[in-house]
Amino acid sequence: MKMTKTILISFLGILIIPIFSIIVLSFQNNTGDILKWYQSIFANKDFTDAFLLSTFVSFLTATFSVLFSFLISLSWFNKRQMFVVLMLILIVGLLPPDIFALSINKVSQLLGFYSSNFFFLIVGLTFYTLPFGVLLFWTRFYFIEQTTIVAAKDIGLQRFYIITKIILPLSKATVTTSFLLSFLLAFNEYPRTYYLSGSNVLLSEFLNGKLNSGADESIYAGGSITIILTAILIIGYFVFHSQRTKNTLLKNAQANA
Amino acid sequence: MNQSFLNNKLFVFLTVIIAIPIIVIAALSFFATDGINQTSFSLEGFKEIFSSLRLNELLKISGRALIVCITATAISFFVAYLLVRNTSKYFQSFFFILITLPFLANESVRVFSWQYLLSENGLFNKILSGITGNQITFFNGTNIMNVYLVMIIACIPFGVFINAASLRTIPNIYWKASDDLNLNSLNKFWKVALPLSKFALLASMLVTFFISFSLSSEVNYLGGDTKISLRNLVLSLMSASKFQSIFSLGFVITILLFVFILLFKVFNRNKISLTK
Repeated sequence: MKMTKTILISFLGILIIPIFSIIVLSFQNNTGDILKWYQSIFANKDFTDAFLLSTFVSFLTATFSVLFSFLISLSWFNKRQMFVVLMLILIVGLLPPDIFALSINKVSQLLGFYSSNFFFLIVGLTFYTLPFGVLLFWTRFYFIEQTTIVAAKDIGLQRFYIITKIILPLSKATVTTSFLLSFLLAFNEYPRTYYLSGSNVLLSEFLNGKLNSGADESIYAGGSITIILTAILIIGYFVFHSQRTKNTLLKNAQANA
Repeated sequence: MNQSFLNNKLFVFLTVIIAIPIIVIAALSFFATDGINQTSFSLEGFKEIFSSLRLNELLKISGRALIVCITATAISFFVAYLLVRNTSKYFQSFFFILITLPFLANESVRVFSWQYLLSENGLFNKILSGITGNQITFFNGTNIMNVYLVMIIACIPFGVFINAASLRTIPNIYWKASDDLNLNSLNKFWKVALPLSKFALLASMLVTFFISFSLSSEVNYLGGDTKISLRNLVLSLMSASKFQSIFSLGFVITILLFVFILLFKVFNRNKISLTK
């Protein structure tokens, strides 16, 4: 058991530690001031603008994604509907992002929007996060007891109330997970923003451009900020989730006693 | 359970919304647009992507994706097996949450970080040089292995999720029976876990194949002179204003995905009827 855990933790280290190597670079400079690149990047208006814009866009994307994925994931309870949705989300999720983003761009052109606009950027990012959201909700629905739904029907609860009074409250944690995942996916996404953001510069585009050119070393601090933010949100969620599970178990134990 | 919470009208509305970009890809792969309003039926897009030059590029991208998907699936299955069979639920949650970091991180930042480690003066060569006492430059800008390594690592989380989900559904009675038969760990892996996870392995290969097919930053940052990637192909077609070819390629991939998913459904149905 200990040996297996050591292997798994080492494996996890191989997967994630290299991502943090950019943080080492962000503290290296000739002046001896280890925060030089951080001061420089926060003084860069283009970076702060791109950061705020990305946060705003990702927040909207995550909100739409949770709403849309919850609605469409209700197809779980009907086998035929579920297969159609599964097929669609697999195609949407696995089609190359470059081609998919171009098709959304084309839709916007067909609707008469020739210059870039936020709506289609958010649509493109929502499509990207949708498959993850639907799969998360389906994982939750798998554990909802059939008898709960049957009992609700037996007492005459209508479809709308079963969704809002039973399914939704039982999926509260999934709503949070789905929102967080969608936010992080949208915040860090590059290919779709490249094709859909037009003249607006989002953080992922800003970072890609600067990292490619390699001219401005303060970009290491910029990259590190996104990595640290992502890690904090993921680990913070894990701590919150563990605490919540522990509290629920404690409550159940007290109720049984 | 077979009851509907989405009425038919709402269901059709939602599926049509999701299908719009796919329909646009399908339609525009058969129509050349000359200007904004002039469209005419044409198969030029397909001719372009099946021309020897483009086909050669696509075969190289597919070949690379195939190697990546097989390796990533094999590694991820082994990792998922160790995780599900030998660790607590708490450790599994911890592992699943942390393993999402590589695919949640910004693509450019992730690949750039790897470039820093895999460069000629990078950490990996320094470690190897330290161990051997000689100057090692195995990892460098022209080593195509770097591209494969980083692509495999990007695909592994998806494989681990799929395989672990499948391994968790194996009924406990199989493991108890294998204990009664005194099967050792290797035999349990080989004779119980592997045969019962065929479907998950195929699903994992399908997902990782299409993901690695689309990965392009790895090639741009780490590929040295090798610049063949899907994004570069799309950009070169864009710069030549051959948008129809891009959509034709999208249409071919959509059809392939559609066929694979249907095959999976048939395979799964046969498996269920055999079990019954």
